[in-house]
Amino acid sequence: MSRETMNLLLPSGMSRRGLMRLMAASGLLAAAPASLRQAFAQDKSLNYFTWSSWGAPEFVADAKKKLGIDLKPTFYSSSDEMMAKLRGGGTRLYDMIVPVQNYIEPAAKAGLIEPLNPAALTNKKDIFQQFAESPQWRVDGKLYGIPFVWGANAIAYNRKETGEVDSLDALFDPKYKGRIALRDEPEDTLAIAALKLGIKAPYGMGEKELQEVKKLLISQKPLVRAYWKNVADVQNMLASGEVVVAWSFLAVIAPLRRAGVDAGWVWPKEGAIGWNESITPVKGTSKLKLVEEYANFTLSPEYGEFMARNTRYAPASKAAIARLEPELVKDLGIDINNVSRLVFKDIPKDKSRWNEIWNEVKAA
Amino acid sequence: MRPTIGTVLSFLAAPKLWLFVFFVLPMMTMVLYSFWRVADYQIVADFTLRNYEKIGGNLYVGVFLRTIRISIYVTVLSLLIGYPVAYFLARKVRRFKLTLLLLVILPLWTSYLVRTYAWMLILGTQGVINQSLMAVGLIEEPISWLLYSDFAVTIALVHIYMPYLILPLYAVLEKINPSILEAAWDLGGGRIRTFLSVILPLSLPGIATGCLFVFIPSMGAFVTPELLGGTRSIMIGSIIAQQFGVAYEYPFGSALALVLMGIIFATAAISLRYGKPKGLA
Repeated sequence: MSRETMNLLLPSGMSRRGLMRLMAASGLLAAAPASLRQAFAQDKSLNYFTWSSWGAPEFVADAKKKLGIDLKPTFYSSSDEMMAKLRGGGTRLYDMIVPVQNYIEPAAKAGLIEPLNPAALTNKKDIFQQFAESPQWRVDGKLYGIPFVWGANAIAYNRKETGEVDSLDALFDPKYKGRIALRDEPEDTLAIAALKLGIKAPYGMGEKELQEVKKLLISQKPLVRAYWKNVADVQNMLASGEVVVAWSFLAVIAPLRRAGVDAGWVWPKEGAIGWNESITPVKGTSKLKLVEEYANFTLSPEYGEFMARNTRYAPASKAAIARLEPELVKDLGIDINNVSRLVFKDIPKDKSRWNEIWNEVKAA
Repeated sequence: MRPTIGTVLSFLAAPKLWLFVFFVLPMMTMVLYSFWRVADYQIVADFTLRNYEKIGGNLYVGVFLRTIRISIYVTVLSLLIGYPVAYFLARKVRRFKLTLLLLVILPLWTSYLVRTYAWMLILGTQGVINQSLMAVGLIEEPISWLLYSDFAVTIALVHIYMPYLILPLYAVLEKINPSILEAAWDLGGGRIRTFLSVILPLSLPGIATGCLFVFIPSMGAFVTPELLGGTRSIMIGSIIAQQFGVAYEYPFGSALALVLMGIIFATAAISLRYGKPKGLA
């Protein structure tokens, strides 16, 4: 279908992008011809399907200024939403996404993403080795991304109530009965229980270990106030004093401190759950070169510094971290000397069994 | 001018087409999916009964039973609170009737989510109830089971769905012919006797419909139990949502949803069968 026919078919007052969005939402796009997307942009613009942080106006302005690229962001708020929309026809809408490492294998196998040319990513040299060489970004020998940002899910605590915390034991301590919160998500919570039991590779657990994990989590239930689903909920629980120690995201700490809570953040010595994200091309994009240019840009020291100052997320670039003051680095909640403590979230060996074990814990 | 056969047919066809596209087709898709499976992140279309076998296990039967139990609590509580309200509105109020009816449906103008969050402010340890009880000195420590518990889920669902019970009940109660009541009094029936053997049986259809309108959405609720429920408040709606989200198990999710629909259809059939007006009909 040509641009003109499309314009003719459009109701007045509706942009083509609007139509595309509508079609994606209704799933109709899956049935539309692939040439549609090409009709949209021959220019230097990228349809960027991403988390709200990476598509914020300052990032859009920065890309325009430094690269002359027009970022056109659309947001998702969870990895599942990202996957569902790509499966539902989003591959025809977007040029690039920002997935978390454990979604690479499923996305590649489901034919939703496109590999990058490693030679195009010249800034890779500044990236911490554990990210640059991470096997989680490679499927069947092809490279699907080099992370530009990383962090960890770990323990948030109310220092006034608990003092300093350094171990997962705090989440299992009867002293805090009814004032503990965990995340309602098996791939975080089963992994924490495994680390607490001293299991070194949680995502490779077999049935026997899963049963031990289940037993531990069921025995912990009387101590737990609630399992949170949304990060805003755990923030509320900590702010209102419903709980004093919780498995959490770093994002809760700054708002809690602003609200006057003496909030602490620690990677427990048994381990924290690491995550990292990269620019990844969407299957069938006509602008692979441009995506690679932008992906390489996100690995640059300038981008890393800009990102850290704007969002308080930690860059994966050594050169970027070297540009930051030590206080700011501390504020980023990362612990460069203890990266070995991180267990990077992965696809469990038997994902549906993990879901089932978690449901059994909740139903017990 | 008489309509031609063609016009009549197309008028008949339009709603059927609508039903087919938006009801029959999705339903058939779901039935098909429920016999498929997922392998290597793709849905594979080969016939299996595994999804249904899985539902028969202890875990899911248990969660279904929990869901039914909570939905029954919600329905009974809504009826106990909603019936007097509907009765009062239909038979006692003369002035401001419209305003009062508006007040009944007013909560529906606020988002479901907002109403759920509001209960956190009321029931939390720092919430209105706990703080007032502590201020008065009735309790020393905040009552923790008010929030993040089955209690919280039940109360919030009653609040959210009760208007759907009051409205049909109101409609039925209002239509009861006053001369029937006069006849009952003439024949020596007291207030209680009149209510039990005349009004209550006549309002059965309203009770049946109203209860269904509360029971059905309660069975499918998942946001409220996830936000207000404690560590044990898992309901089947959450498990179904999980299959279409994190788990990417559309086939299993479809099977669960169909079983849930089966239970709901059975409940609806029974209550509509027995929810006919008794005695004077």
